[in-house]
Amino acid sequence: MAALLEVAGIGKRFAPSSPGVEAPWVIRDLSFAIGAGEFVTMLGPSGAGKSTILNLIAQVDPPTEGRVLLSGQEVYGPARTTLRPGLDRSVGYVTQDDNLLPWRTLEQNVLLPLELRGRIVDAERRAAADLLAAVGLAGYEHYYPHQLSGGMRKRASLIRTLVYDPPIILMDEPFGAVDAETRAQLQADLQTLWALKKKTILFVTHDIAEAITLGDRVLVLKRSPAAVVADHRVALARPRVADLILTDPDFVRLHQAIRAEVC
Amino acid sequence: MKLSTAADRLLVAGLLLALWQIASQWFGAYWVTPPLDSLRRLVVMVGSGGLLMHAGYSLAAAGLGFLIGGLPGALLPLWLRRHPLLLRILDPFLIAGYGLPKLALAPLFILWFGIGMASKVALAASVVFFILFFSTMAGVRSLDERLLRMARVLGASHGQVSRLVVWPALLPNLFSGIRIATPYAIGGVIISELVSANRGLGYLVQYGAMSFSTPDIFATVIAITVVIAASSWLVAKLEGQVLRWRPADAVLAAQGLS
Repeated sequence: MAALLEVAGIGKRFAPSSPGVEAPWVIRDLSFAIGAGEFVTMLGPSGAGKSTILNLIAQVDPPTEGRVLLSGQEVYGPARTTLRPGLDRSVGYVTQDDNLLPWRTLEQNVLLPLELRGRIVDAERRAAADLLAAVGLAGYEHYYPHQLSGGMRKRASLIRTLVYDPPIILMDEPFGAVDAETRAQLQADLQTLWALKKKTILFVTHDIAEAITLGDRVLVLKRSPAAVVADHRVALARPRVADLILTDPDFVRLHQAIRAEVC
Repeated sequence: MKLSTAADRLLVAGLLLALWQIASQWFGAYWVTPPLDSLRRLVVMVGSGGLLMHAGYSLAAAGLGFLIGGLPGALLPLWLRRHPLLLRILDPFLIAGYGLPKLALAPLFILWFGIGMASKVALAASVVFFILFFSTMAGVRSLDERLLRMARVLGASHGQVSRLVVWPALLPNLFSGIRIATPYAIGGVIISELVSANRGLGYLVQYGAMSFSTPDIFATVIAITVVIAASSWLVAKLEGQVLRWRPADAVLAAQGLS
């Protein structure tokens, strides 16, 4: 069976800063595949090009070489060279910034993808309300983003993606800018939602513990140019509680192995 | 508004009125009509119905000019956003048009469109167009790319991006343009009426000057001030309604008050 998402030999370099100078490869010969329902975390040092990789998959930025396939179909590559972000709404993308529209209330922001698709039916409205309640945002529907905390906005942007049910969700260090306590809560929320909706998730982070806590698999990246150097299967039982698994021997062993690869 | 601010403002108003009274005494009431006489004259002019008709005429010209110049001024940047090459070609000409003193065109518009309302509408439109174009264009240039990208990933078409992301993001800029353009539009109409007209507030000022009636001029200038202030107040109210999502400190910053 074809993987749900496959990235084959992808390379990326940006336009040269001055003519005659070859720009370096940011990503080179990067390949991996993700099966349906898998939660894969991608771990790499800051500046390794993790965000760029997600941009290429989400089709907001074209790869310089290589192919991106969804369910075996080439969505970008030699045979298809026009970017189509939001194509079939098959790839959801939770970026580092929450990117909520400041003039829309929390509820209007969360319902935006459904509004883009057409008329919103009551069942969809109820499903969105349930998701908001599941992450503790019930009662804040009519607040504007600037009236909410960073953690609440993060959760809202996650719900905005879940609400239209894309088969694959890309997440770019979504919990990077929040405090440790909120972060643990968000990790727990995400695991609950993932178990609930059985999504396929590619989650990018530079935090080793977070990568192991959340992932079925951990892909380890090297820097300049970025490429996958290791692919670990995480055998820890779920649900995983961030604080409790820190002392699990399997967790510790994996953490040490990965740390050696990243450094 | 705090009570003390209101009291301070009242004090400044009293001071200005006192200065006006002193000036009138110093130079003579023939040259500077005292405040109370100006007000009395204003009441007479309103009572006769003439002033209101003239004010309505000027306001209609300004309003029409605002629509004719403002709509393309506000919408053109939305379209040019997707045509950067065209924007680059047109840019110097638009800047030249912005810099051109439109008031100097008043005699030309009168030659072209006659002394009726059309020449006043044309002047107001030419003033409003450039102000709204550049304020909206400033918004286009400072658009948050990340929001546009997010909308595309969520499946928005180009039309939906324009309507649901770009347009609302531009509204604060558009409104700061409208706030600036409002007194210019009315002022432009009045200047054009000063040059040549048979109706309007500018015509009244000119008429007062021709008949050496300073009270008429003073009363009309007061009326003009009231009309412009009331229009600006109305625009500010509308802005507050449309942009009520903005945090309070952003509102103050936009009005230059913080």
